[in-house]
Amino acid sequence: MKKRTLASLLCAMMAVSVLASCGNSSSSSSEASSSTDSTASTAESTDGSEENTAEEDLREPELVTLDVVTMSSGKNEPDITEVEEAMNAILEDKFNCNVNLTFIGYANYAEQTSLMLSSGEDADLLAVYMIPLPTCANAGQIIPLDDLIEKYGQGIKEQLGDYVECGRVGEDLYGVTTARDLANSQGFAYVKSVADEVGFDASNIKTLDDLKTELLKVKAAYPNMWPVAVSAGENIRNWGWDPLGDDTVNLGVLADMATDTTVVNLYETDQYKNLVTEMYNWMQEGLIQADAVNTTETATTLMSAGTAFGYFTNLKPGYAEENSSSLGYEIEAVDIIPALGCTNNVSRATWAISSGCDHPESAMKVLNELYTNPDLSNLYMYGIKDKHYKVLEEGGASNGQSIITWADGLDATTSNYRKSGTWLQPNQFIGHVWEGSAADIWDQQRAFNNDAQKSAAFGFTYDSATVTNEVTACTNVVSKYNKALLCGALEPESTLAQFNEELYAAGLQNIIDEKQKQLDAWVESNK
Amino acid sequence: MSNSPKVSKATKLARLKHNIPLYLMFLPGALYLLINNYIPMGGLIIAFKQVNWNKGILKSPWVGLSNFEYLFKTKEAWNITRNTLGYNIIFIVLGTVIAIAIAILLNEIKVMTLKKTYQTIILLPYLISMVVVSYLVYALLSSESGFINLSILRPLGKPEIAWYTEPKYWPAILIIVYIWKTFGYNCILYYATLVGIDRGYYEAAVIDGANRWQQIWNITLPELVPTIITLTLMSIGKIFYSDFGLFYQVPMDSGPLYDVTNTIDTYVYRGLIRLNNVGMSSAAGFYQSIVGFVLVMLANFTVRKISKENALF
Amino acid sequence: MVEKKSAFQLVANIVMILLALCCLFPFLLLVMSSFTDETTLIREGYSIFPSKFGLQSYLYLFKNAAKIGKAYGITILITAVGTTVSLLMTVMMAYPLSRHEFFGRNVCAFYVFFTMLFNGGLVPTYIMYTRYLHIKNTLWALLIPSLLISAFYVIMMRTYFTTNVPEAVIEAARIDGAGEWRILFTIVLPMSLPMIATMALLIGLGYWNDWKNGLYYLTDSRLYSIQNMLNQMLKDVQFLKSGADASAAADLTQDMPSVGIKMAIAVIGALPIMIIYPFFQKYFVKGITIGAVKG
Repeated sequence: MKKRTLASLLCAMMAVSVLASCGNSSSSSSEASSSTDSTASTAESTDGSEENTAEEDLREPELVTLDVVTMSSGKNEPDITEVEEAMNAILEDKFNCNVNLTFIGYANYAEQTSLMLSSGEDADLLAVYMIPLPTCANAGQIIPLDDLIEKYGQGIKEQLGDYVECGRVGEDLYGVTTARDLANSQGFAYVKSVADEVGFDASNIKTLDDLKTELLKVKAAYPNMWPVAVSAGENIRNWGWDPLGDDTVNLGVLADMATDTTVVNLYETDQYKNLVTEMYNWMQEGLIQADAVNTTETATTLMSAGTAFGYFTNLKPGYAEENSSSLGYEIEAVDIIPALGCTNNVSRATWAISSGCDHPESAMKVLNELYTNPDLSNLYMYGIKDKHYKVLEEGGASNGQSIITWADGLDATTSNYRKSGTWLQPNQFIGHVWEGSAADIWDQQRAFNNDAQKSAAFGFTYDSATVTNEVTACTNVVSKYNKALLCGALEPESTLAQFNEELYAAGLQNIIDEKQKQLDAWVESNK
Repeated sequence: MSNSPKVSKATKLARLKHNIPLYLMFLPGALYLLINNYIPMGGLIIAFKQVNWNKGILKSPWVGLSNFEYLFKTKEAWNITRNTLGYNIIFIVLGTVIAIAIAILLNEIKVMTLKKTYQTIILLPYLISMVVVSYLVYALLSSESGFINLSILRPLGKPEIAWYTEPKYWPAILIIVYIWKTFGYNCILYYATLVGIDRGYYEAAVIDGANRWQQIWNITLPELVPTIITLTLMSIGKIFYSDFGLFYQVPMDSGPLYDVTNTIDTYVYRGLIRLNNVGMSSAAGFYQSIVGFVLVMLANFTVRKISKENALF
Repeated sequence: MVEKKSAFQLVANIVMILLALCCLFPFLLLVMSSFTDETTLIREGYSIFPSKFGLQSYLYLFKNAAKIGKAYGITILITAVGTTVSLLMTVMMAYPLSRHEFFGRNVCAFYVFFTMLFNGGLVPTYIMYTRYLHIKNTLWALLIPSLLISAFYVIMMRTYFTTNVPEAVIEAARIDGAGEWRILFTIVLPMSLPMIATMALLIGLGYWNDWKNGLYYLTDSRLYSIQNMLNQMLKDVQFLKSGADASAAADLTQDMPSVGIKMAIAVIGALPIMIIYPFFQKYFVKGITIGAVKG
């Protein structure tokens, strides 16, 4: 049943999104996007709104202003206010709503949003990211969305399909995911020019051993270049297991591509042992950067300087193109672990309504509009046409939107409304495509999400509330060993034994038991 | 006998009236502390609650001491307590001795321009943030590109050291970094007291034929005692806290070093950053405060016994 | 006697010079690495004498000159206003505590000291300031929370008054008919200049280096002080550790400052205070002279 829904969604997705936007904005999307210059919309909005009040029951009786928060860098006032005004022109007309946009940089996002959520101030509608959705829900910081989405959020459901379900905590829906890569495949990205030169052949690579054989060629040709560089101490993550909510700490996982629902301790599995032994051997042979554990650089910094060849990474469609264009030289990537879809991937970045929000209904209406109205979404993501971006190819993208790039005279450092973090804005799939990505990049990502092998626990959200003490202790133990093991810096044989002993002393078994209990209950109710 | 309370009441009133300007002076600061510190202290009840922001802090259910459990339950709890206390005791003792020694030395230097220059330079480390310090340390210790490995050990033909994975070096490294960063500051605190000492005492001592060491021992050090006591009492109040930057950023959060770098603050941060649990982090803060409070009260009580004048309150 | 004296001076100077070198060396390394060619820095490591110099890092900062200049302006404004107000309030709080006849002295001292031991934690303080005092995204946010009065400084100041301002001087002034305000501002303060200068420096440093208030109470980057800007740029790399997916990684690549830029940022963040401090020292020394004249 589920599979059929997904399949039909995949086919119908594009048609739906076009239909939805037609129905809502009553003009073809490409036309609309070109007419969204601020003068036209402000001129129309005042008299237009009076006509509409009688027939549209979606409009608020009084003007409502919502604080909308997301993570992004390179966006500055007064350009934010200009974008706000352009967005308000659309929203005021339709819902008598205004938005007040806040953008927070990566570094501060977790701290600032958790403060905002605790105080109930300054955020009505926000992207919950880097703080776990279940704890926000349990602490009453965000509100259940089921009724609201039923009434005002049909567009979101159409856009996301079954992925909406991953935002549940217990029975209730608390967050809706953003449109992005919702599964992870794991692989290796590297500098193309060096690969071509030394005869590094990606088509030979199916396993880590194959990769090693190829990397040895690099090592032989360039003894002063690290074949594998590590970003900020993290070499590999989620190498084919479902961490069941504990992303990066993996306290109780479904191992070996998560095909059955038995929760195990990852750090005792052969899968993990083989992986870290392999990394240890690589380190011994000088294939991994010696400073891996405590480097503060990113792998790409070293690659740009010519001292590194590549790095392990999560992959998604268009990964190489996207990074090539931001780095300024060509990158290639090879998959090693096929895409695996886990609840984590979906629920780690969701939009939610804060419990401090006075107008949850308007918030849901606006959110729905952000998911379905390409004009609004484009404004939010890319700013104002011909001020922040310019169109290269009208309607050139496969979703009917345009291929765009920086407006004349701007670049990533000078723009005051820079494209960044669009994957954390509600729905990039209905918007423009940035120059350098494939014209059908959004369709590729949709296909990637839907084709990814799903974990046996896909849709299950684990709630750590009853084992917080154990989680705190185990997290400390894991951060002590895991990264260093994955970098190959520690000898696995003895370290693993000690690692596991400390984990069990810290109460890992309780966490695993609790997870298993919750998972069994979920399996039971989803039969 | 029946008269005396009345009299004392009258004098009390007179005294109070006389004190009015003093109260007025005290007031703005007192109000600020009320807003900035005392009212938010009400939030300490969070440590005993399972907070549900939807209901509000007051209506959230009480959970007794369960938010505190994680600080005591595990093997690691002993380790972090030992590290926090151990480092702080070393910092207090070593920091004080070094700062006083240098303050006295600085005070002895005759050439004004040199004195000024030293004073300026030793305060430099205090001027920068721990984040920058962590980059400085990294520039020195990084195993691939660090100054010590590349420019000292390598030319000497000594084997290079993977500093960030060898716990045995870190107690020393952390102490050196801490002293390096703070001695200038502490030194200035003592120095400011030193230059305030009445020169007359020294002149009298010189007339009495006291040499420099005798002057230091009999005049300078006793004059510094109030400052030493005040500073030490304050450090004791913070003895369960640790500088997050020093213990988290300077070791670059390197896992193999945890046994010697994990303190209460870093433990709480690592464990709770994922959990977003205000109750548990409040509990940690409460625990740190209460231990500091008890220790300070004890220390202050002792000081009061010996010399009332020097007690904090 | 003279010989012995100069030998002592020599030893003292040598010790101080060694200490000064220890303090300066890492800064030298920092400054040199910020002027090192980016690729050379990564390939050859940190060095006092890099094989190739480069100005890329500073060119990058220069491109952002407008933003950096503004942040500097805010830092200077906040530091100046904050230090003045804070110093005044600290003095006014410390003086009564130093007076024996101040009724309730111990209770008041405890009232101040207690704030050093207990605090309500970040969340309650945040709620107080945002929900009730509405300072979020205003300049007040950089000025008021946690920095305005430090119990530590009040107590230091009180100790100084107690030990360095003789009771007799105050008594004499009172007999002359001076009120408490006049005693404080015309007698006690001029006698305490070294301490005032030291306090001003420490409080000023607190304001200059603070980034926490900006982190908690500002989302509008127009109000960022220089430290907020630097801190954000330096901290972004930690984000990689805590949870970037493939989408985020590409974003970060464009934002991540390189080693050289980080070092350059650190230099320009610390530089002004290093330049200002010696000038301050002049005033500081003057304070010392006045202290000496008194004796």
